[in-house]
Order: sequence, then structure tokens, then C-alpha cells
Amino acid sequence: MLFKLNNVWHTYLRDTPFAIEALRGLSLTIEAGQTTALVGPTKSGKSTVVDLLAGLIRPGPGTAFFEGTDIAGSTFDSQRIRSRVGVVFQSPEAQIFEETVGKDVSFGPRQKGVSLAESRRLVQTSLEAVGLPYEDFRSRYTYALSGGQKRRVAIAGVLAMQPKVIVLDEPTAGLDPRGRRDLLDLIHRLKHEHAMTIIYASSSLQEVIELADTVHILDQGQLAFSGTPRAVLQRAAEIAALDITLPEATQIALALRECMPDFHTDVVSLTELEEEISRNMSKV
Amino acid sequence: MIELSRNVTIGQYINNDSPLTHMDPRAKLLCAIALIILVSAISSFAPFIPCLLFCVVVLLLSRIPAAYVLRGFKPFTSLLIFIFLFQVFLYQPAQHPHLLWQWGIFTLSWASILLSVLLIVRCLFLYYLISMLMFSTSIVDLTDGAEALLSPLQKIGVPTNAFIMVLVIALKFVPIFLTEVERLMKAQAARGVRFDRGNIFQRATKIAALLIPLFISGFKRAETLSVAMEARGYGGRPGWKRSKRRIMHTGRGDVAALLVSLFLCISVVCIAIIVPL
Repeated sequence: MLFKLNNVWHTYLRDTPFAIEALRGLSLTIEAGQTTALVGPTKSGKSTVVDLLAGLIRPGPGTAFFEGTDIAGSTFDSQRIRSRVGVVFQSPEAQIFEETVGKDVSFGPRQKGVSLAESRRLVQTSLEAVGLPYEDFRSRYTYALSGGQKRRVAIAGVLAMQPKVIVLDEPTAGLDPRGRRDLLDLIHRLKHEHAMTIIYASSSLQEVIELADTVHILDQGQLAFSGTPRAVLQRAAEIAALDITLPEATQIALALRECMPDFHTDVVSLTELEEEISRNMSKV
Repeated sequence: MIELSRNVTIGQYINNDSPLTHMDPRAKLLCAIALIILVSAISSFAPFIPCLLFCVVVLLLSRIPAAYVLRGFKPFTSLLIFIFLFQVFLYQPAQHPHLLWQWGIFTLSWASILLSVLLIVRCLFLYYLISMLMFSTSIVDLTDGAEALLSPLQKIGVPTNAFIMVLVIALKFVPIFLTEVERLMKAQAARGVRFDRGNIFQRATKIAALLIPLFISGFKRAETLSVAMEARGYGGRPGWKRSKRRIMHTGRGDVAALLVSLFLCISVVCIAIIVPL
């Protein structure tokens, strides 16, 4: 078990007039080697969980374990979590702080103190892993990149640290449809070719339905329910009520259910929707 | 944990419906200016006692937790200690040099200790007054009030509106910049920077590395803001006068506040004359 959160609370800006209770007794587990999706509407606490998994905040009341060790324990070295878990934050612009792509991607390795040749190799492999040619992009200025490219550079910067786990916080927010598809393809590649553990926070179930092995639905800082994508889709009506974008096929299935109470909502693709429609029609 | 805005409170507006937030900004500014002048002019300890009482009343009226206000002093303390040490060891009283201790250019005397403590007390009061003004006044109120008070200058051709806008934006940018620094620190911490390790010089270098991206994002923000202001017709042609949707009213409470401030000023001056220390 990679992460285990047990009744975790967290308040931002504690003891100020601006205090926000982001997590209210959240409990969930994240397995290594899997792709886990954290899905919830805005203000459901996704980004706080991301900060927690990145070792940037400690649970208020409650316990959080990383590979069996208590994160809040006095002996816990936050560097351990940071060397194994790479985080791509919500807005990639915030994550890129160096002038050129090469310098930015090599920031992590340089902090670790690896040799120049090794750092160069890491930059090259991680830039190529995200689909940016090394020779072309290495000396480009980071502020002149497009939104999609910035996101790739941010991911490359994280990959260069050679993490076992990568946490992505709403990676496709604000991208055009093409950029979105390209990025999702990249994440699929990371999952299948690089065999990474992926934790993906999103407000849309549509994005993660094909990717995820486990889906956790969050609501108001708590775990609403969790399960495999299919198990979660069976409760599509509850998900829709939480203002989470469902996959297109599920949306149609949910609407059809109003006239056919027996209609199953755990359909992922249009083909499955078609099968479900013919199953229902044959009964009539 | 990286959460700067918990401790740095300057420039925040707390809209909690307290009587202070409802005050006429002109009256509030006048009171604040009177008190700031008063606190700057006091040169002995006794007159600070009524000022302290007044501050407690303001705090109660503002309905802001005292702990939050006090926490705002935290980042300020190291600077104050620095000022205090400089003042106390380098000040040389012209008369009665009863030196307690001397080493090269560094001296210590009762006069310098008294003066330095007074200076620190004065700084604390000023900081408190200005932060209370900021906590209870929205950006729109602050500009409207200052514009109204400075309108006589506008008549002789001083572009007061522009100056006030610059000042207010600068103040209100403090919390925005802090969140920006927080984001940058998070991003760097996630990639292996340890802000909690190393000696003071190593820490300073780590903070310095945040400055360049901070400046870049600051410039970008300023550009966006100026475009947004222009798009909404800010500035306009010379001779144009912007009309206002909200009209300021001076109510009974505002008059009372002005009177109380005036009374405080008079009583403090009286105390200063009667009690010499």
C-alpha cells in the first residue's frame, strides 16, 4: 500500500478570518502500481490531497501513512516522499521557474547533485518521454511556450527526478481539445510504457474513466465512495448530483434511465451504450 | 509547511460586516491620519496609555480576532529588533552622557535605552493603526476616500487619482504576491529544494532564487491589470470626470468616531504636558 489516509482533516489559513476547511475526515488508500483517480467538484479537497501526497502539508487531526510510515511522525523524512513522488501542480506556469526549458527540467537533478552528464541524460530522456525533441527545446525560453507545451515541460521536470509515482492535479484544465487529447495520450504512455503509479485529480470522470484502475469520488473534503470505474458508474445519478462531468455515454444512459428504470449506467463507450439500449429494447 | 499568508497580514481586507467596515472611508481616513500624526509626535510613555485603550476599543469594534492581528507583527519583529539594536548602541545623547557601557563606537546609556524603547512602541502603534485601516477598508473605499480628501489638490492640477491608484494597488498586491511566492516555493519544494535546511546564507540564496520568477510574474500581472483597466475605460481623456455608482454618506457613527479621535488627540496632548515622562 502506497498511501493510507485515515480520518484526515486539514484547514488552510488556520486561526485567521480566512480559514477554509479543505479536508473533513477523509479516509482512503492508494495502491502502488495502479492508476488512481481522485474525482470531485471544485472545493472538494482534491488539491489538498495532492499537497498532502506531495509531502507539502501535514494532516491536521488524522493520520497519513506513506509506504507504512506515518507522515506526521517525528522521524519521517519528507525528502523520502519527495524523491519518490513527483507532482505536477494545477497550473503549470507556476511550476516552471527557470528561463529555459533545459535549465528548468534539469532543476530537480541539479538539486539532487547528480553529475552534469547524468543530468543531461535525464533531461534528454524526460523531454523525449513527453514528446518534446531535446535538441529543439533544450534552449527555448519557457515563457514563449504554448499552454500544452508548458504542461509537457512541467511533466518532464518531474520525470527528470525519476519518481516512482506521479501525481497530476487537473492536468488538462484550460487546454484546447487537441492539447487535452495529446496530454491524455502522454499519460497513457507513462502508465503503460514507463509502468508508473499515477494519481490523477480531476473534476471530470470522462477524462479518467479509461485510464483509472480505481476511482475515489470526493465531496466536501470527504470520500463519497470509491471503486473500479465501472462500479462507480453504477451510481451515476449520485455523481451527476455532485456536479462531476460524466462520460458522454453515461450521460445518455442516465437520461434514458428515466424512461427505462432498468437501464444500467455503467457504460463507458458508445458501443456499450448501444448494447445496453438493444438489451433494454429486446425486453420490451 | 509553506503557508505565508497565515503570518503576513498586511494589505488584507476582512469583510466581516463590523461597524468599522461600514464607516465612511473619508471619516475613517481622517481619524487614521490624525492618530498617525499623534502617535508620531508623542515623545514620552504616559500618553501612550490612552492610545492603547483606544486601540483595544478599535479591536473590539473590528471583530477581528486579536490573535490574527498580533500574528501580523511576527514577520515585523526581526526588523524591529534590528532597528532597536542599532538605535540603542549607536545613539549618543548630546547632553548628560551617562554612559553605562562603551566599546569603540558602541555606547549604551539610559537615554538611548528609553529613546529606543519609545521608538519601538511608536512603530508598533503605527503598524497597528495602518493594518487596522487596511483590514477594515476595501480597495474601492480606500481609493474613493483618499480621492475625496485630496480633491483640492486635483483642482490645482496634481494627478491625485493616478497616485492614489498606484498606492492602493501596491498595497493590495502584497497578499497577491505572497500567494505567488507560496506557489513558487511549493513548486521548488516538490522538486527537491529544502527551505527548512541550511544556514542563514544558504536559506537566503534559496529565497533569492524565487525573486526572478516572482518579478516575471509580477510584470505579467501588471500588464494584464493595465489592459483590464484600459478595457474598462480607466483614465479617459483629460477633462473627463468619472462618475461614481456609490455615494459616500457621513453618518452619526462617523461623526462620533471623528469626535472620539479629536478627544483622544486633545487628552494625549494634555497628558504629555502634565506628565513629563
